[in-house]
Amino acid sequence: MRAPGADEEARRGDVEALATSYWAPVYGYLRARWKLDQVAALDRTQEFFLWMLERSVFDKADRSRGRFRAFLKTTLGNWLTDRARADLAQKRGAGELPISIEGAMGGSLEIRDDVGKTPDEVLDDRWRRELVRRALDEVEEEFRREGRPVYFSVFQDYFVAAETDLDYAELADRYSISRHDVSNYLRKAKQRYRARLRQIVADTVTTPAELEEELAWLFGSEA
Amino acid sequence: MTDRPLDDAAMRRLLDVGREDLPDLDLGKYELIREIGRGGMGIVYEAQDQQLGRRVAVKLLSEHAGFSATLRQRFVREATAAGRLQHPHIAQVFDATPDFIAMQLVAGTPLHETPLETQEIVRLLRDAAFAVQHAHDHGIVHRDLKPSNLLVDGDHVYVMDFGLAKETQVDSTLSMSGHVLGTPGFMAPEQAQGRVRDVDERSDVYGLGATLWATLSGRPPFEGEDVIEVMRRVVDEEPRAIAGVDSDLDTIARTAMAKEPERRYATARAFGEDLQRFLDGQPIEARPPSRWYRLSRFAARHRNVLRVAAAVAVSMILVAAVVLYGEMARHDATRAGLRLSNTVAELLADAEDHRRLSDFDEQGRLLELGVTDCDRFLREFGEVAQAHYLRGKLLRRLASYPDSLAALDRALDLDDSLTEARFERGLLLLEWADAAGVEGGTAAFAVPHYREQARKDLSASLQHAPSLRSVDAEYGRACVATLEEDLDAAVLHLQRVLELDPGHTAALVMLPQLHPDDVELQRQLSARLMDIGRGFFPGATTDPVFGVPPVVQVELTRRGILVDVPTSAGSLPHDVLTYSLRAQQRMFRAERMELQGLSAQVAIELQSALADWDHALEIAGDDGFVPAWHNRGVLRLRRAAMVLEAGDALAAFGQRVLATQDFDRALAAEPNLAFAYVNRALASAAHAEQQERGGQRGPAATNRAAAFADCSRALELLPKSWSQRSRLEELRDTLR
Repeated sequence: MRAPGADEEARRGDVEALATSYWAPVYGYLRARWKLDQVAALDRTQEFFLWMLERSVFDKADRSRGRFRAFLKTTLGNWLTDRARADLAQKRGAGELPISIEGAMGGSLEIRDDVGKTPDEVLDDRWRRELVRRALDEVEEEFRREGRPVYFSVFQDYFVAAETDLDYAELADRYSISRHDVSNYLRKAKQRYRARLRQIVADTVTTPAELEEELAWLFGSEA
Repeated sequence: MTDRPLDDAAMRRLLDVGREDLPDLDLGKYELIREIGRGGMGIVYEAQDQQLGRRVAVKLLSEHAGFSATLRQRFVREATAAGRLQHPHIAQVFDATPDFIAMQLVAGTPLHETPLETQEIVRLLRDAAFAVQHAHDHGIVHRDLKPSNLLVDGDHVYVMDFGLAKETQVDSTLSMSGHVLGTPGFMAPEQAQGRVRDVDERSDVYGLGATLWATLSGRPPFEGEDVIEVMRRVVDEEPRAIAGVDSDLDTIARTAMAKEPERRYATARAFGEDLQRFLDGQPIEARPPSRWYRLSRFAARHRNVLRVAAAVAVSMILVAAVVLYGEMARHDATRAGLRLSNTVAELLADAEDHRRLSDFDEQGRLLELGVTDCDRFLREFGEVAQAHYLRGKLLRRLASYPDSLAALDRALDLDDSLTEARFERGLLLLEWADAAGVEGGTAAFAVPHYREQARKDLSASLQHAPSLRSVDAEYGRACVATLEEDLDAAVLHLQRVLELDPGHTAALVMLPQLHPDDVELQRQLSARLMDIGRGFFPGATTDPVFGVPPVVQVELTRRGILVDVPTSAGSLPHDVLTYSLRAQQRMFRAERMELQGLSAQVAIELQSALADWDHALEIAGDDGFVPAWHNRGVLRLRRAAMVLEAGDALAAFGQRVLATQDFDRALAAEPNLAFAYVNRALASAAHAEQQERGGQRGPAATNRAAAFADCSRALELLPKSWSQRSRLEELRDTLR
């Protein structure tokens, strides 16, 4: 994540990028916390990111320390306290553009998976999913750009699509490649996916020790 | 951002993939999927067999576990043999290569981590026992049965890792500290004592019994502070009665765990059948041990406690304990002859192990025991060629060449077709010729004659090679080739010898002599020789903490060899390493020559070794390394003793001063080097003695005090189990 500049435009861009990446965990958290319906929860999510923008939360010193996930949780907590004190809707300037998260919406609005979890667990769980999702997106994009989309397709079918009893022979037939190719493509895609996933996590922390902690958290518990 | 559906199963898979640092390897049809476990031998993965479309477990043999190529081949052979086992309760081995082993993937939990009712435990152990019997019927012994090797999947038990355990015992016991390990507690006493030749099906019966014991009582049968302690208890102590279970079950478990194999169930099946009787509510066959037996074990335990402690320590480096047979079957020459052959074979093997450790005292003792056995046999049963042959063989290793020759001649007189005796005589003559050639003097004139006779004997016996062990035959061929000056062939045969036995010392010494210019080869082979001398047989892994079991360390230190060798070789300049290795090798050679009484040669070797250490330290500079200083000090101490014997007290004094300086340096760099304190104490004590004789009371007292302090410090640092402790304490007390 880029360090936000003083420049308003840049900061707005940062927050939008942030919102795009991490709206789902925040949304899930708010929804679980307040038992809101979709529309209300989306509204609050947008409010939160706008509040972050207005308060220049990123400029605060603690932004540069610690894991971003933890930081976001703390910030969310602060915001909830703030919000309880004042009516945010009134404070918000009339000319303000809403933060755009529409493009990122989809099935993640569902909360079926979140039932029975604490708000913190919801946030963590959705956070994990976002990290994995982004890693997959980036790997897919990379292979597409290199003109080797099949590498990702094989990986996607084998690990993501979860077709039962899918074996290499069937994959080989499906993409008209040899079984050895299947094995190679999978190996390469796995390597790249691992690297991207680690990089994405690395972008949310500031020290190697935190990276270790965050990776341990990511892999440590069940998805 | 796309809206990518990710269900929980996909997330799990993707996080698994993300977590794994799977090695990027081409394992043929096997594709690694995820890591599922780690063990002494390497890492276990879940993998996909792409041809058969099934999931398997793949064990990658660790690069770092110290498996030599030969050992890997042996793994392959054993795992392949185990692969022929087909039994519903044995996890099947599908494939074995030098790099990995593919086996049936069992989704289960280890027995000791599975919550089970007593009846279920008994039922599972019964199934396991019959599976083990199935393996025994096919000639395969497991050797490492323990709860973690039994996986429980629902109500089904699988015995894991058949054919894989044999070589791992030493490394798994050596590399773990007492707190984490369970394995030695499940070893049969004969395994704990390193009596490898006594390990058979009944060792598995013990393993089953120990597993039953542990699963019923929730802890290993024997525990202790460290490995030695655990192993001592395995050998020495009876397992306690299992609290809170039916006494029949306790009897079954403890019968299987009897110290003497012949008191256990004779077969795994018998053990399983007794468990079945228990399940059926019938009377079991095992009987609790009689009171008399328990008393006699108690007595034996107190009598043997010291001997056993030492034996256990030694066994950890695979030096087998001596098994002396009881009274020979009287008036049964055939059986007695067989027995003698077995005894001598064991003694020879044990003696060879000790020789490789430069433990020549023990080697000599074992060989002489063998000679005594042969003499007794010959007295009782008259002239038997085989007994003379064995006697000659033992005497050759004792360097009693004339007696050895007489015995072998007699054997061949009695039975001209005794190939082994002829072969042995060839080796004897060759060795004698070499020794005589070195020694010079009156024996030297006979050298060409001996060599020619050796060539004849060896060639003749190699005509009947099948009656020789293949490694012996190869070595014999190498000797003949050398005698016939066909050096290429000699090299080829020696290489084959080393393939068959990577620790074959004679081959290790001979091969570099045939390649005097190949520095790298010299370095490699002398490194291997050194490893053997330090107690690391090729293939065994090293214990990074203390390197060598204390007992062996002491033996070697006492002889001025070793303590520590630059295993951090990577950080040292190549030349330093080469010189150090050569110095070590020369020290070994000096020991061997001393045994053969070649004292003049010993002095020369020691002088050369000293020069090598000097070179090594010169190159290494002030930051030189501790072993070199220490070992140079040891050598200087020895020189001091030698010149003192020759009457030059002043030179002795000078050598000791230099030695002390070396120990000072070693200790400055490594203040916990216990043996440097011991050696410095010896130097100071010798100073003091000499000064006292010269009437220099003051300096003598100072040196005595210094020696006393060093002794005390060494005693603090050395482990309580150190076998020479009492000797050092004695020395300290005389200095007080």
